[in-house]
Amino acid sequence: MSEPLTLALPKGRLQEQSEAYLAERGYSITFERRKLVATDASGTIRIMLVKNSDLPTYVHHGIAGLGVCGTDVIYESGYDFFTLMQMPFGSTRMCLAAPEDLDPASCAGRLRVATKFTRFARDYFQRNGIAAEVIRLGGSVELAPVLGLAPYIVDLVETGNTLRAHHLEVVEELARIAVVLVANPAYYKFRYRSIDSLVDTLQGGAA
Amino acid sequence: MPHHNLHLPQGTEAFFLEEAYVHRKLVRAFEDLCELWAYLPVQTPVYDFYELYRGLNDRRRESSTYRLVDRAGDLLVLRSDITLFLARQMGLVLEPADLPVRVYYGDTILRHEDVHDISRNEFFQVGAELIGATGPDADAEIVMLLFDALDQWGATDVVVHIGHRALLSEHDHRDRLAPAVAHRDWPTVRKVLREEGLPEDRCDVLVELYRFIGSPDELTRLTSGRPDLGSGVRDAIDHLLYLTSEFAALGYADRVRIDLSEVGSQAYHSGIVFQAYAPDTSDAIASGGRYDGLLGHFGFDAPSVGFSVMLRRLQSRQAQDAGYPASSVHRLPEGDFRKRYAETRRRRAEMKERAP
Repeated sequence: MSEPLTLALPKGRLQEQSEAYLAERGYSITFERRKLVATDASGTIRIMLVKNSDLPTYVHHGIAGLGVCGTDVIYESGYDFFTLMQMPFGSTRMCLAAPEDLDPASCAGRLRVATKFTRFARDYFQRNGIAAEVIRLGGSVELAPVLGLAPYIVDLVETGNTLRAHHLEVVEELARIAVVLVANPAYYKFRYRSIDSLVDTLQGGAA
Repeated sequence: MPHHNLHLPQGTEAFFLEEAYVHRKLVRAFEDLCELWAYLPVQTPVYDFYELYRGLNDRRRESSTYRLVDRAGDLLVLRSDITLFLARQMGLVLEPADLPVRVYYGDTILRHEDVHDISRNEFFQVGAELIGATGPDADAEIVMLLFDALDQWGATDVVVHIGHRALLSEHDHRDRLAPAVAHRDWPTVRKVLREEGLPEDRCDVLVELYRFIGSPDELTRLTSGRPDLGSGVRDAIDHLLYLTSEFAALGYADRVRIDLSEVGSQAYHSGIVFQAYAPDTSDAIASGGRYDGLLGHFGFDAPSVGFSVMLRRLQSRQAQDAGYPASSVHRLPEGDFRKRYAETRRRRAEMKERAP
C-alpha cells in the first residue's frame, strides 16, 4: 500500500467540521488522547492537528502535503499553494467595521485601522488607493474602537453579534473568506494521482 | 555585536567539514559528468550592472535581489540567478562561429530570503546550458543530462515534469496567464482567457489542456482528433510527445511526466520548460527550459536551453545513496607524522593502481 497522504487540520471549530466532513466520505479519524497525529481507518490520510495560524507553515515546508484552512490565514502567510477545492463549511466575511455612532468626518486624513490581518488590510487599502495606518493586534480586535486605539477595525464577521455587543457595525464587506483544501505545489506534483483521487472522492460525496 | 554572534545574515550560509565534504563530492561528480558530455566550465561574476537585468526578473525575484551602489555611482546587482549572469557573459564572449557551445557551472547565488521562511533558502546552484542549438535534439540532450546527473547522485526517485511555454504564446495576457496556470488557479485562468475575448468553448479546451499531467499515451488520448487546438498548441504537444518517446526509449518512461501547467516562472522562458520533484522536498529541486530570446537581450542572439539544480535540497537526502557518506573521509593516525605520511603514500599508490 502506498504511503498515506499527509493532511493538516486546524485545531478548534474547523477541526470538528473537517473531521465530520471527512468521516461522511469514508475517512474516519480517531485521535488517541492528547495525540495530534492519526491515520484514518482506510490508511489513505495521515492527519496532523496544528494551530490554525501555523497551518500554512507546515504545508509550505512539506511537513503536511495538504491542509484545510481559511483563505484569510493563507493570505496572511504569504505562501503560494495549489487550491484543490472549496470546503462546504466555514465561509465568512472580512469586513471593515466601526462604532455605530462614528462620524467619518472626525477621522479625516489617514484611516487608522486595527486588525489581526495586517497583510490583507495593507494590500486592500493600497489596491483601493486609501491611505491607511494599520495597527497589528493578536485578538479581541473589537476592543480597539472601544478603548480608543483605532476607530476602525478589519476583522472576520460571521453573525455580527460580537460587533453589536460592542456597539460596532459593518461599514463595508472587503472580501468573502472560504475554507479550502490546499496542497504544497511540489507535494501535489509528486503525488497528483492519489491527491486527485482523494479530491474526487471528497467532491463526490459519501464513499 | 554580541547578539549577532550566533547567526549569519539572511541570504547566505556556511557549512563545514563532513557536510562541506559531501557537497564538494556532489559538485565534483556533476563536473566530471558534464565533461563526459563535452560541457566546459564557466564562472560568472559575483555582481554586475543592475540596469542590464531590469525587466528580466518577475516581481518576486526582483524583490529578493541585493543591490548596491559602487564608488562610481553605478547601481549593481548581486548574482541571484546564474542563468541570467551566464547569458550576459556568453553574449560578450561568443561569436556565431563558436556555436553550439556547451557550458556548466556550480556557484553560490546571493538573494534575500525571508527570515521566517527558511524552506526556500538555497544558495548554491549547479547547472548546464546548451547554447546555439535548437529543436528536439538539443532539448532531449539537456533533459537527459539532468537525468544522468540525478542518477549519478543517486536521486533515482526524482521525476521530471515537462511542459511547453508555447501553450501560452498566442495569448496577449501571458504575464497574467503564466502565473495562474503555474499555480493551477483555474478560476483566474478562465477569467484571464475570457478577458482576452475567447469564447467559452475555447476557454474550456485550454483549461482542460493546462490541467493535464500524465503520460504521453494519456496526452495523445486527450488531444488526438482535436483540430480546435490550433497549430501552435499542436506543434508544442507533438514536440513534447517526441521528447518523451526519446526518454522512454532510453529507459526513463517512469521518470518523466508531461505537465502542461509547467509554463516557466520567468518571462524569458520559451519552448520547453521543466521542473524536477522529489518525494520528500517541499519545492522543486531542479528547473530549466528553453530561453531563446535571453542572450539576444544582451546583444548576442542565440537559442539556449539549460537547467539548474538546487543542490542543497538534494544534498542531505542523496549523500548516502550516491556513495558519498561523510564517514568515508578516512582518518589518519594521530601523533606520528611519519606514519601519517606513509599512510598517504600507500593510499596514493592504491589510487594510481585503480586509475584506468
